[in-house]
Amino acid sequence: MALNRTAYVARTAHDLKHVNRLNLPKCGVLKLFLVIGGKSSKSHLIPDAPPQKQEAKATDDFHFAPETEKPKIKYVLDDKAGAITKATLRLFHRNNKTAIWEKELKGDELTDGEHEIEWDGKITKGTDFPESYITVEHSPYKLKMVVEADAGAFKYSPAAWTYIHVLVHSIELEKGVKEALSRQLDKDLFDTYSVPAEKAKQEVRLVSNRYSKDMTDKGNGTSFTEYRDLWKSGSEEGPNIPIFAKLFIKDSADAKADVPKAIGRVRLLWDWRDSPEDLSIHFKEAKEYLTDTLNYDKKATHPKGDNCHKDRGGKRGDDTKPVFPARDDKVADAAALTAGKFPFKVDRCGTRKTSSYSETWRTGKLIGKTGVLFQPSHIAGDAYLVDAYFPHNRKPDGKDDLDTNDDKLLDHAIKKSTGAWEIWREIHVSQYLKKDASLPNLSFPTVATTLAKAYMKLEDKSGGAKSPMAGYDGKIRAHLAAEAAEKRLAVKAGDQGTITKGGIRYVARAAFVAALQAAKGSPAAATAWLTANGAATAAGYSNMLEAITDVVVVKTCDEYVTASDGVKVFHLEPYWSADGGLQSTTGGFASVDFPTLKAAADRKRAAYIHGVLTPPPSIKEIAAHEIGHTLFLPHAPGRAGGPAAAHDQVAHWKNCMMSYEFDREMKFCGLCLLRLRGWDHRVLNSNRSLNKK
Amino acid sequence: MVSLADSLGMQDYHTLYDDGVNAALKGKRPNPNQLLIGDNVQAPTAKGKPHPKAVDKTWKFAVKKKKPPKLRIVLVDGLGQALAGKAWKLTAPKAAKGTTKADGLIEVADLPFQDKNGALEVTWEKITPKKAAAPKDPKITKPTYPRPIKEADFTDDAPPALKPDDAVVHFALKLGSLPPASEDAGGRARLRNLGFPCTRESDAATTQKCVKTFQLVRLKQKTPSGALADVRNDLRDKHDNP
Repeated sequence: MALNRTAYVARTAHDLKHVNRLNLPKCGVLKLFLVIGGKSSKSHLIPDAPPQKQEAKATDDFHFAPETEKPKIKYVLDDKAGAITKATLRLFHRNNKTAIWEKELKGDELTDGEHEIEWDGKITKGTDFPESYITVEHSPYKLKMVVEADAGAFKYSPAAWTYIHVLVHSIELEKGVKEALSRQLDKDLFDTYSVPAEKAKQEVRLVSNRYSKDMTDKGNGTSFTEYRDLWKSGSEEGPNIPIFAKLFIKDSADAKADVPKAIGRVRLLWDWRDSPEDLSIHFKEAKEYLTDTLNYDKKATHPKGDNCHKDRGGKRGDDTKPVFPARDDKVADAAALTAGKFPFKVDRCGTRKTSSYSETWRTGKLIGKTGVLFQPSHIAGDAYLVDAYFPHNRKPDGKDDLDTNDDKLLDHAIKKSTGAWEIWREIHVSQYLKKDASLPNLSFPTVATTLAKAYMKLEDKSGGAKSPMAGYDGKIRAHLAAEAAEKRLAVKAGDQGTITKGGIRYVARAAFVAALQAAKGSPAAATAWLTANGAATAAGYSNMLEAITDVVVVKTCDEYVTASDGVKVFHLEPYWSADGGLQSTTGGFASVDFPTLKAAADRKRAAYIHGVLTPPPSIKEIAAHEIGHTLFLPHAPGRAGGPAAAHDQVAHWKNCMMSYEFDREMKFCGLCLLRLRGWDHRVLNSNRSLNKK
Repeated sequence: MVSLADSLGMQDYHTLYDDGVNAALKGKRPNPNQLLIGDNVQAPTAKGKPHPKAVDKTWKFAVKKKKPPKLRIVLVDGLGQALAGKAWKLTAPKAAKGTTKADGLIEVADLPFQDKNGALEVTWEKITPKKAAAPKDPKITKPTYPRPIKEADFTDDAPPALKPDDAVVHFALKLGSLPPASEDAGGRARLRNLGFPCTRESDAATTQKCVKTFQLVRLKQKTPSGALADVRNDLRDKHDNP
């Protein structure tokens, strides 16, 4: 629109020369940019404005760390006549017509020429900006100057603008807080781990004192379901491990700056990878069994890998069992944490279904942080690498392009990974009683080496061996009272607590027969009884003593069982003995008839009696075998007479720890190892080649 | 003075301005074309000059033609530099047009003596609006952080584009209304003509702001006083001097 101006003009007489000089005031903003440390933003003008010379290396990628850095807003006004009446700086972010910050220039800030204002990114406090600083959340920003002028002035460059970013430099992962957990199991677990650094490893030891109570549960799915359900909560399976992420800002020199106020509400994508299992720890046959069995859809699942597949009780390949479950306890931005509430909002991805997004807090106690509940499977031996991604491309609505199944599209993002989280089971020896202090102590760490192959920790929580077993004679004789009077004649007189280091001391067979004859009144009557009770021979007598022991010694030991979870070990050496050198051939006995344990509503305790044999088997083998029984493992086939289907094929490995094959060192077969790890053995085949897919 | 002399029937303003009765005024107003309302201009005592001639005969008398004033305007930029190549068109009090040369001068002779308003149109700049290119999505050839700016993502009001007539200025010329530079009104009027945002009647604050800007920009003074009295002569020189 044309301009109108009034001019006061003097006529010039015919013989004079004076003039009237008229000027049309022109004004505008010729440049607007930010500068700090030799870096500057690019200035933008309307297309009709005169060309401008940019600062050296001016860029639209200009960024700085709000609050800690103070770049200068520089601008150039052309206003030779002082026609500019108003100039305003306004800050915008994408998809928002309304300025989030505004500053009207005053006084000398409005004059012709170059100006600069120091600015640390502070803006007006608002819902999106509770800390009053520009944040990553709404980056990039457009800083714009608009000038207004006197009505008669020509405003030839009415606006200038420049772009500013608040960028993420890096992510650090840290252990979350215990308050974020609600389940006691998770709280107990919390104190046992830290976030592993990249390339490091952290064992996650899931305490799982769950034991066999009868013979049936060694054959059905109890071993699988008991352990799974222990770490199950509703539809979710596995432990809850809070991992938090702290975001850092990239300052103008591209260095790391800790400015939580400049983060805002942004999302991280949480992803996991499978850390390949090291099978070199196993003996040849176990390695072969595991190699075949772990090779199940290894490349077909997302993520690919050898963690326990969903078909075998694990989480790999099952997006309905999230590793980063959704959470929305609506406690974001609070000044304090609420016990039992997970602080961050977590949403599962729509496309990348095994991943989730979590949101940072804009303000409050966890400002600038976000996190997830990492929920690996409970299966021992599974291992996870956790990755947190911050997208390069945040769309105006806060979404990004990381929710994709194409892993390559994640390559560019800012990423932080943990080391390997390796899942282990942990069981306890919670009581160790020795009949006599002179008996050599069992070495549980040695026994633990056999279970470690199944990623199972055997921890000795017994507090050390305790002896003697006080009141033993009284207790065992009370239980002997329930036995037939004839059988009681076999029990040696004296204090059973001290006359033997074993479970019970009997008389020699000849003495028993003599006593029986005396009791029955004639040798014929005694013979009749012996025949009727299978004790007519030396072997029969030995069997009778074994049977008596199985009842009375188990019941006697039961009276010493304490309330603590774990395996109770009663070290009676030997199991029984008799005068004349006769003694039991039982090296150990994981009875399912301890009355207290049998009657218990739960499966938190088990017990076995540790006798001893002249090796083989070794003490280690005996202990591992009996603990194997408490952990639902049945005998192996062969001399032990166990079910073939529950073990690796005999032709492949007959010397399973659960066997009686003593011709070489016994070791858990591949199937037992997986079963101990928590795999569902019901879907595993003894024939390893059939486990591949 | 020129129009006054004309209204008194004088052929030349000197008859009035140079007459002894106006000697004091002349001393006070060295430019006869810059009087102030209230200035006392006295008409000289009529002095009829007898020209005895015989009757019944035809005589020719030659009467001197009146000498009308000129309109002299110099177009300048904000620093006082003359502007060449500016097309102008005067539509009142008489029609004329042209294009300034290097001296920036617009000169129109034979201005009517009594007209007080003029209209001058100057095309200060020729604007051919440039079409802003439609914002395109930046092409991502390799992942960068940050991603290139997408201007279309910003929805703030776009600044108005320039239109062809935005730099055409219509000057309403108040002829014969420029007070002497020695007067406050004259100072303000000159500031106005030189582009500063004040009028002949502006208040003290506006005047002071304009004077300060004048001192800063035109006189390159670092500590401007803002006092009109300090710049009267400068204003006169930068506005009036040929």
